[in-house]
Amino acid sequence: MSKIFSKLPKIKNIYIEKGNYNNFQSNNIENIINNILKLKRNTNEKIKINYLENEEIINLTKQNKISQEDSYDLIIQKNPGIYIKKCPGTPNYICCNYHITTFYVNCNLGCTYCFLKFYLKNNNIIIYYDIDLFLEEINRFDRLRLGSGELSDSLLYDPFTNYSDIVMEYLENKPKITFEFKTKTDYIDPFLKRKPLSNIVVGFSVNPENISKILEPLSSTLNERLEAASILLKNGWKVSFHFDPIILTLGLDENEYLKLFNTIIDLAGNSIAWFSLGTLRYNIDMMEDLRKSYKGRILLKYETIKGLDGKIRYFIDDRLRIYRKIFDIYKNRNCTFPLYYCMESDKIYLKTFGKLPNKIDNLSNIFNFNC
Amino acid sequence: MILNFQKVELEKINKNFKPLIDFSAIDKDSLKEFHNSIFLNSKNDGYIPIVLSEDPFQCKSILKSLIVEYEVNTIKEIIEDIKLYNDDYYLIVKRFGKIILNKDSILLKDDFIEKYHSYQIFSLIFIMIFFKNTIDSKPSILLYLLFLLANENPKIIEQLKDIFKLYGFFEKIDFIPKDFYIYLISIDADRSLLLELKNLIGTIYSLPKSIEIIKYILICKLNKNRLRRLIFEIYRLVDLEKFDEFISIMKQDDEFFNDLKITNSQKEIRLSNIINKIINPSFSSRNESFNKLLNSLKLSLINIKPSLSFEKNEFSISANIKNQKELEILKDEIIKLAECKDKIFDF
Repeated sequence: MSKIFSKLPKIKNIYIEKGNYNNFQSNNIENIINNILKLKRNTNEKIKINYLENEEIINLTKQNKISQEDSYDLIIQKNPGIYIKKCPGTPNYICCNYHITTFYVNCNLGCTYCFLKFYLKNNNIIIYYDIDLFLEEINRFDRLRLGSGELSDSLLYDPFTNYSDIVMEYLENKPKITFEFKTKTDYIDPFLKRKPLSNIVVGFSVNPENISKILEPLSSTLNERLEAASILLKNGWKVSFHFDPIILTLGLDENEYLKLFNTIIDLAGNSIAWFSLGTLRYNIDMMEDLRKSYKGRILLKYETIKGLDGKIRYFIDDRLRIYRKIFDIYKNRNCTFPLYYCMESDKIYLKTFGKLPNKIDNLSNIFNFNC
Repeated sequence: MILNFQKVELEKINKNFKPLIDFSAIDKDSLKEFHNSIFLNSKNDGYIPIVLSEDPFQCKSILKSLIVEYEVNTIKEIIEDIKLYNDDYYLIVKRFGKIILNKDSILLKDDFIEKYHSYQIFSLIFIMIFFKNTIDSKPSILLYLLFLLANENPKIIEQLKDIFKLYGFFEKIDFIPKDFYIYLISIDADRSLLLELKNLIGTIYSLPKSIEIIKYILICKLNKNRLRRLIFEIYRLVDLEKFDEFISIMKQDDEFFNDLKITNSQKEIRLSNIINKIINPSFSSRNESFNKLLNSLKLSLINIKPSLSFEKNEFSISANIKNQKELEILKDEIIKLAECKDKIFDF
């Protein structure tokens, strides 16, 4: 088991939403509780388990304060919406047509740049217990690229839920449905227990060590993540990488991204499933929160503009500079794995690739333009 | 002791007005429970004590719980009666009938009565306290009324610091010159703007020469929206550790900023340029190069604008044509433009 779990805050309470569970759901809840109790058996954590009505659960999820930094409440509830959605993208920027699904809401990793704590205002973790409905929903699609890393880390709570097993088992015979588990952990146990699947990708979101050790304090270290990726590759699994957010700031050398990009190419070469790049962007209201901490202020030490979507971004010349440096390495090393930008303007594509993604050969499958 | 605002209204600005004495409206014994207090009497809701204290912050916390006893409908009615822009602020206080004073109130000290016209002070205090709960929906009411009062009696301006302090706007009260309060009132600064300023001052207070920024705001007489934008820009200067650099550059231009012949808007433009170059150096330099290119093209009819912050690979072009001759000129300008398309799309 990854070392990361010993660093995380403790669970104080588990709240379970009362409901008319079907067999899958009641077994699932039971498994989650048993897994948690088993994992916590040798710790001094005293966890209270409570069953609550739907309204009480809603009140809990609406809380807008963090009661204790070192502990959190875990809420096991039904998903109030649908499971599979198209990534909402952002106006005026090019989206890769990724689909997102949510098994968990919120994350304990506490990365400084993360928008979750800003929007959710509390540190409760939600686990949806009715993922049988996700499996039903997925039947509606013939072809899809989706992932569960939008509102949480895909694998951080997997030891509680074993959802990766459930998903992989179901998708084993659906090769056109590509599922990405996006993570900042090095938790890869579920993948090593089974034969590799061509439609499953483990995505590692990484930042150079100089950024990661400050702004991603609870995540697995860069080396741990790279080591995990290497093990997966050796075992025949597909891996992807994400430099998102790329952080430019005073006093931290941006060329560290280039070194890391080279390291990853050395490690995985053209077997990388895809590699996405995106520079830091955030809602203007987040600035006030960021100013409250030393680490937050690090993120503000660079020229920014208000983008076409109203979000704060680095000025396009600075974004282009770092993207061009990375793209030059990609070209010079004859890379053929799909490389793309997350929520970037047409100009960025035109000034690096020289064309838009629909004209870039190895991106048509990724972007799934016919979808 | 009753201060009757009906009376005040009739007498308008009668500077010799003295409060009437009348204990009949409230049980004398119960007054003992409220030292240094004013009581508001609304028609149906009974007496609402407003506790005055020598410590304004302590007083503020007590008031919060008491004021909410007013019924929402009553407050709504009163607000609807307010005619903000006809100088008739007496209407507001008239609606409440009477203010009953404890005879031990600090407000009744002789020197106080001598210095100020009590009806103004009472109404001021009342307004401040009453609108505490409604200020968010009608943010400019308090300041507008203060402005009226200050116009009526310049002595009240001297009290502005205390008023702002009582209202909790500025903790670093000594940092701010009196003129700045008057400026804030004159631009009708609303509560949210004042709170933004309060937070900013808390942030820059410890920085060397931070007081200078107040000086430049006063010199440029920034309007409300520009002041709000300036607050954002100052935060960016602080984020980027460029605040000192900004003040130094401004100081080099002191002659320009202190020149009375130069208009406020010219000064504001200079201020904006200086700030932009510091907080958005890459953007400013790209903008300058783009403007240079446009100037070199010498286009008289065509206007070209890049996308916001040069984000997209597109430009908008517009032209106003008044006659056939201009249409011919436009044709030439479009050809000229097409010839240098590579340069334009390089931006």
